[in-house]
Parts: sequence; structure tokens; C-alpha cells
Amino acid sequence: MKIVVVVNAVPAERVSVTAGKLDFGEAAMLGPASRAALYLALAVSDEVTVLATGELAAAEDALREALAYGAQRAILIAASDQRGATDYAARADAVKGALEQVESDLIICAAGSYALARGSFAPTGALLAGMLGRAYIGGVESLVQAGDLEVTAREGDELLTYAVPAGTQVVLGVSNPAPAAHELPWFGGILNAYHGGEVERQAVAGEGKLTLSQIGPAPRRDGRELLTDPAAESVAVLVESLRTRSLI
Amino acid sequence: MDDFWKSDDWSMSDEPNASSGGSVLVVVSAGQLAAAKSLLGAAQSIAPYLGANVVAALLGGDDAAADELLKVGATQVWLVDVATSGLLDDAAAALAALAQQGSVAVILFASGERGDSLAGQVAGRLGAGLVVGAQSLSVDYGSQQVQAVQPIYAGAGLATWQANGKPAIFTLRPDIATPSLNRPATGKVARFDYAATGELLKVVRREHSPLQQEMLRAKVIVAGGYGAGAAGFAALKELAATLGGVVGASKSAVAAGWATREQQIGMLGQTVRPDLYIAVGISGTPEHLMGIAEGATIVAINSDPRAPIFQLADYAIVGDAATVLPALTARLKKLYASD
Amino acid sequence: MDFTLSKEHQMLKRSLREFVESELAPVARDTDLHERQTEANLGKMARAGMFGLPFPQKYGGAGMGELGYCLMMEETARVDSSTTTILGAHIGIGAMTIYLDGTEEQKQKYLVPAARGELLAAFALTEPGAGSDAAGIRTNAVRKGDEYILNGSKIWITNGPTAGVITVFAVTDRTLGARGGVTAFLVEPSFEGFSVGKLYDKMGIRGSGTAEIVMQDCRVPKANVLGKVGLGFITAMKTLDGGRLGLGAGSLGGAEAALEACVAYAKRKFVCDRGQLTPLAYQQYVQWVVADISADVYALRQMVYHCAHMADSGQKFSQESAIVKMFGSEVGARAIERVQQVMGQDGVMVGGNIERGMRDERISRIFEGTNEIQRTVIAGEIFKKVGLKV
Repeated sequence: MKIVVVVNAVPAERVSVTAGKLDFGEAAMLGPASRAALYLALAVSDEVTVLATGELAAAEDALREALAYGAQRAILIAASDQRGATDYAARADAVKGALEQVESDLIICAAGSYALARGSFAPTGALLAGMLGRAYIGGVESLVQAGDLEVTAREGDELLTYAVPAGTQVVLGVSNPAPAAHELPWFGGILNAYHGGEVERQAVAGEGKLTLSQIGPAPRRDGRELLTDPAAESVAVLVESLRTRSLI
Repeated sequence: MDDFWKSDDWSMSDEPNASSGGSVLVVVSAGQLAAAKSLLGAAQSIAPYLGANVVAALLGGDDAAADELLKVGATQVWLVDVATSGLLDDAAAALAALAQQGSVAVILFASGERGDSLAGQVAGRLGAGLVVGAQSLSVDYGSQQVQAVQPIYAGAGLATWQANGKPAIFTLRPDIATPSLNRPATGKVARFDYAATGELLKVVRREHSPLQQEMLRAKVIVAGGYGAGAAGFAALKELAATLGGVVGASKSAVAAGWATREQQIGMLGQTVRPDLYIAVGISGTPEHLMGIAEGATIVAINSDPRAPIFQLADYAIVGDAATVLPALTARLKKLYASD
Repeated sequence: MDFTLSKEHQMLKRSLREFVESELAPVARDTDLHERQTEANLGKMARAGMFGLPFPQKYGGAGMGELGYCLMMEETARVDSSTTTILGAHIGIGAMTIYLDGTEEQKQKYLVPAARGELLAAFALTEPGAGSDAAGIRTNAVRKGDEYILNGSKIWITNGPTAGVITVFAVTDRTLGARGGVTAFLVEPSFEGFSVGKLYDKMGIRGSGTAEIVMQDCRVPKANVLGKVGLGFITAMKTLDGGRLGLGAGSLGGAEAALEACVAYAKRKFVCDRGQLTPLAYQQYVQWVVADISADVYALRQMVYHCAHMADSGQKFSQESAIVKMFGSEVGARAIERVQQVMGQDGVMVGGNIERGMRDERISRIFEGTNEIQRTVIAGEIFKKVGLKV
């Protein structure tokens, strides 16, 4: 089964007081949801292609990491510079363009996002499903090949398992990084990913329907009071206010 | 009064009463009527400038629910029956068909996992632009295009997007707009009949599996960071118990051994959605903050007045956890005792 | 000169850092308390290729070289010195002997499973009567037909209790002494006459098993002679060069962790200074400790990576690795001791990282060649260059 995994790169951990940039560089790595999506794919298939969009340097490292984990092919789609914010429809359009060259029975998208508001999800997979006219299953937590492909997704307090018959093409969204403990790549794969592994580049521009008119840091929240009085008074004010808002 | 809003002083239409700007479509699910009020409020704030009217699509609801929507500002409600199989349904296809039938300029959804993915599918089908998690909408005077302000990088930045065409799709944080005022229901309710094409996937297994960590369901979370220290963690466990909340931790606190990996909140941990989040001794790096969903009220207790978390917190107490936490716990116990 | 690590080594370091912080750090205290690692973690490490990191991929390793090995030692030592010791003895001196001097058959039989983590390796040189004076070993090996019969005991063998293959150095010709009279043998615990003796109860690195091994008419097939008969001492010395480097990297990790702990503590701990609450970091003594340790760490880091580079590019590095081990272990000692002083009572709490780090660190100045021996080696190398044998 040929699987395409659409991943996100996140900036690598900030450096420690001792190491500086020497050891960690400016690299990026696969985000937690991307890694979970990749594991799901690798567990059921050995024909896995990984696709990423973004600024070249950062996304390439994430793709090499994907190769190190065991993906067979890595494709980097050059993205137009959005100055830090993402037009997801354009990105999905670019992915769709790239997918025309790549055979896929199943598409898995990482839906976590470092770059959006807190607690939000990247809608790349949903957009792609809409564009391709396929069903979209979000919140996927596991994947089992047993005759039909069994996809288990979470909806609130329930886990629903769908049977996807062979030949039906769906798009899966993974947003929950597996709560299971961290699995390392085989380190030999890291060496192979950098010596011999190839990251293909495609210049596919997505058509965007949005223009970024402004981007900047969020305004400072001024005008609130910092409660610096002795503990007893600050606490009294806080409790009073939370009570009024029915939060406690 | 209604006529004033429907008049087209800005358009070139021959019919002064027609809404030549099309419509602003608000999508609401049957279980989400509370969010509908603020979505309709946002719709009403932009519709006049577009020369559009406000309509709503109600997924899986009944006439009574539709009436509620009419009362809060929809001039028309479409009842959309969707065939469903677990969490998969025809909603995206139905909504796309509905949008193509009338001339819809803007579609609004409530932001959340369900709303964002539904909005994404509809945007994909219509080839529309999409902004997820917008916090405010406006209309640019010159181009008459809708603008949305979107928080990015866990709230550290703001991006302003302008739609380039019609339709444009936005998902909004439900608490952003002022809900519209109630008014007598004068609009129409109609059914939108949609013929499903293709079969939905079969659900072969349905398992009741509440989220393993109560933290993911908790409404109140008390989280400790490196600044809390081992002693601080003991105190905040007591605070959490008093509030009926759950204990969380930052990555540094887990590394120091005061909390388990399951309690870690942030980029490499859980994303939580409480109503109240008390951060004790947490400096507030983006990697941690991105684990707290929008909509939470954040109380920060930290001894460093320049900690970044104070930029985000709704309440800020500058002080040592060792003094503040016991005082807070004692005060709460007194409050609950007198209830 | 660009001293940045290559991309693959950066990725290796990042992956190791994540693994160590999410899997090893939470159980580090338990590892120390229960004197063993969890099966789950050992399994993960084996699958990742940590047990054979420097060895070429054709021998089941990951191919990351001496530099990769040093990175691994550094990262694991930041949280759990016991794991570092297990890996150090297994890779640095155990399996390394087979890699350096083994025949193809021996490599396939022992090195490949060792690299995959299926077999644990160990290195047995020290005896009750011969520690620093390694040339005075007395375990003897007598040829008898197709076998050698070994008699003697070895002490302080890391991984001894659970090793699947142990490189044992025995005297085959007493008259020739160390030069030509010592041979290395690959001994499996299943060989007749082999037994594990006393298990040691140590102050630190308690998660790493250390034992005495006893050979009483132990029968070793002649196919298990490692390298050439009589040249065992050369194998030992060659191997110890690389092993020392790894230990230096371990000290680096420990010192870095101590420094970071000190900085974090000084930032968040508030003390009353002239009537005002200020961070401990405002105190000059604390600043000097941080400055001194960071200078040591900076020097040690360059030293470790430079020496690893020398090893990977095939240059002789005996003098440098001895310096790294000696300097590194002393840096580690200074760092942990001064940080413990800065942290006061918080630094001596059992269960805390600093208290465990203090106990774990002590052995690094003693094992794999005491620092006194390292100094002898360094001085010997230097004087040799000017023609004097000291």
C-alpha cells in the first residue's frame, strides 16, 4: 500500500546554556503529530513517501529525519515566503499539485500546528480531502491492515473504528501525538539519510486565495494589574474575581 | 429597522432591497447553539459592509433549534439533514452544494477540531481561502474584502489576512464577538435537500474510551513549573484537590522529577482545554503555552515579574509559590466552607 | 574553521537528548535504587542501535563513528551515569577489542550481536594482584590440544554479571611478561569452568553491574584467541585509548548537567540580601562557580570532540585520550562538588540528581586507568617524543 505522509517541521529545541549553536545548529525536526503520523504509516507499509512544505533549510532537516525513521522517499515542496504565517489553502493546493506525480493509496496528514493559536489544528488534511473529493477522518489514533484497512479515530469519549475497503481513497488527519513513550529512529538510518538519502525538491506553487496584509508581534497586554501586594491581599482579590466569573 | 440593514447604499444593484453582496453563511451544529450566537454576531458585524444578508445552516437540528437561530439574527435558516456514520458525515458535501446554490460570500464556522476540519473540507471543495482560529473579522473599506486577524505562534504574533475572492471561509473562536441582540423571529426556515453521493465508510467498532488522562477533560488545571520546586508541587497538589482540579507540569518540572510525563503540558506533552489554568512557577515559553487552548483563563504565580507568562495571563501574582499557594488554598477552603 | 557538528551528528544528538530526557531521566533514580535498567529502555536502546553506535553498519552497528559514540556518552551521562557505564564498558572496551583485532568469524559471531544489543560485552584485565600495574597479571592460559585452559580471577569487571562475551587477558608465557607473553581470549559464560564470583556493592553507578569473574580450568577453544598469541597487551592498550575518550565524554555530560542545574537553581532560589529578596545568582561566589565550570566545560568539549575527530580520521590518539580522561574526570569532580556547595542542603537530598551525580562521579577518576596512570601515560608519550623512555 503506497502511503503519502504530509508533515510539518518545527524548530528544534532551543539550545542550553552550555552548548550554544555549535551542537544543535538552526535545524528543524518533525513535529510530534508528524512523527505520530509517520509511525502509523511505517507500521503498515514499506512504501512511504513523506512530503513537506516550507522554508527549504528547515523542512529539509525534518525530511531527513523522516528518512532516518524509515520512509522511502522524501519530497520538499518549495513554499512561497509567507513571512511567518501560513495560507493553508495554498499549501494544500501545492501538496495536491505534487501528489499528481506521486502514486498514493492513502494520504495521512499531520494536523498539529506550532504556528497557529494555542490548541488549534492545521487544516491541511481536511483541505486536501475536499480538493480531492475524498472522505476525511480526523483524530486518527491507530491504523491496522487486516483485510480492509481499519482506521481508529477519536470522537470525544469514543473510539470509532472504520473499515476502509481496498481501493477507497481517504485522507487521515493525525493530531494527537501518541501518548506512548518516545520511539527512537535507528541511528544507522540517520547516517544513511544524510549520505545517500535524497530529498527531492519540487517547485510547485499553490494558488492562494488570501493575501497577508500584516504580520507582527501580538500587542502587549497593558492595563492589567500585577498583584504584588503581600500574599493575603492579592489572593483575596483573585478569589473574589474568579468567583464572580464562576470559574471556582 | 430591518429594511435599513438590507438596503444597498453601497452597491450598484437595480433592486435597492436585494442583497447583491450575496450572503454570509454561518454553519452551526445542533449541539452548538451557544456558539451560534457569537458567530451570528460576527456575521452581522460584516454583512452590512458587504451588502450581504446573514443566513445560517443548521446541521442535524430541528425546527425549534432553527427558530432559536432566527431569533439571534439569521434571516434564513437552512436545515441540512446529514447522513452520518460515527464522525464521518456528508456535511462537507452538503454545505458545498448549499454554498454553490446561493451566492455565498463568506462562510463562518466555530473553531475547534470538528469545526476546523469541516471548514477545511468545505474550503477544499469550493476552492476557497481559509483562515483558522480567527479572533476578529472586519471589512476593508477600499476593496470590500473581508479581513481576519489570526493569532499565530501560540499567541505570540498576529497575522491579518485579506480574502482574495468569494467565497472566503473563516473559523472563529467562539468567545470573540458580541452576541447579537434577540429579536422577533422573522426569517424563513427551509430544508436543504441534498442527495448523498457515494457511501459513507462503515463503523466496525465503537468503543467507549474516555480520554485516559483526566487532564484532557479537566476544567481546572493547576500546573507547576521549575520555579515551583518540590515544595511548591506539594502545595499545588493540595490547591488542585481543593479546587477539584488536576495537576499538570511543564517540561522542566517533569525533568526534575516532580511530575510524570503524562502530566506534561506543551508542545511535547498534552494540549489541554480547561476553563481555568493556574500556572505556578512557570516562566511561559511558547513550547509550554501552546499546550493551553485558547479560551482558558490563566492565573500566573511567579516570583519573577519579567516572566513571559505575564504577557498572556489574565491574572498575575508576583510572589513566591511557598507563600501564595497556602494563602490561596486557605482562602478557597474558607470560601467553600461558607457556601 | 567550522566547529559545528555535521547535520547527521546534530540529529543524533537531538534524538539522544529527547530520548534521554523522556525515558532515562524519569527512571534514573529507580535505576540507581534497584540497581538495574528497565527492560523497556534497554530494548529501545538496542533497537535504536545505541549498543553498536560507532561500529560500521556491516557489523550491525549504526556507523556513527567515535564522534557519535562520544555524543551518546555525553547525552546519557547528563542524566544517568549507570547507563553510560554499561555502554562504555560494552562498546568502548568490550566489543571494541573484537572490532579492532578480531577475525571475520569472530566479528560475525560476537560483534554483530553485540552491536545489536543481543549480547553484552565486557573487558577483563584487572586482578586482585594487578590493578594499575596491569603488567603484573597472573591469570594463566595453558594450551591443551585445541583448547586453552584458563585459571585465575578478574575483579571489578563492569557488565560482568550479565555479559555474553568477555575479553579476558591471560598470561601465555610468563618469561616474556607483558611484551609477548599475554594473550586475549573471548570467553563466554557458558564455557566450562567459568563462573561469576562476588557482585560488588558500590557507592555510585549502582545501576551498572560489576562483578568478579573466576576461571577454574576454564576451557576456551583456540578459535577464541583474539588477535595473535602473545600480543594481547597491545590489544588492551589500543582498546583502552578509545575507552578513555568515551569516559571523558561521559564526564563532559555530567559537568554540563551540573552547570545547568546550578544556573537554574541560582535563578529561581531567592535569598535575603541586605533586606531584599534577590536571586541567589546575584551572589558573587555563585557567579564564580558558574564561570569556572563553564570554562572547564568549554575546554573539555573542544578536547573531546577534537580527539574523537582524530580517532575517526585514523590518527594515533593515545596521549590525547589520556588527557581527555584525566582532565575530564577532574572537571566532572570539580563541577559536581562546587555545584553541591552552591545548592547547599538541596544538593545533598537523596533522590536528587546532584546527590546521585556526586556518588556516580567519584569512580571516574579511578576506573579504566586511574588518573595517576593517565598522567604516567601522558608523560611517557611526551618524553618518548624526545627520545627518553620514562
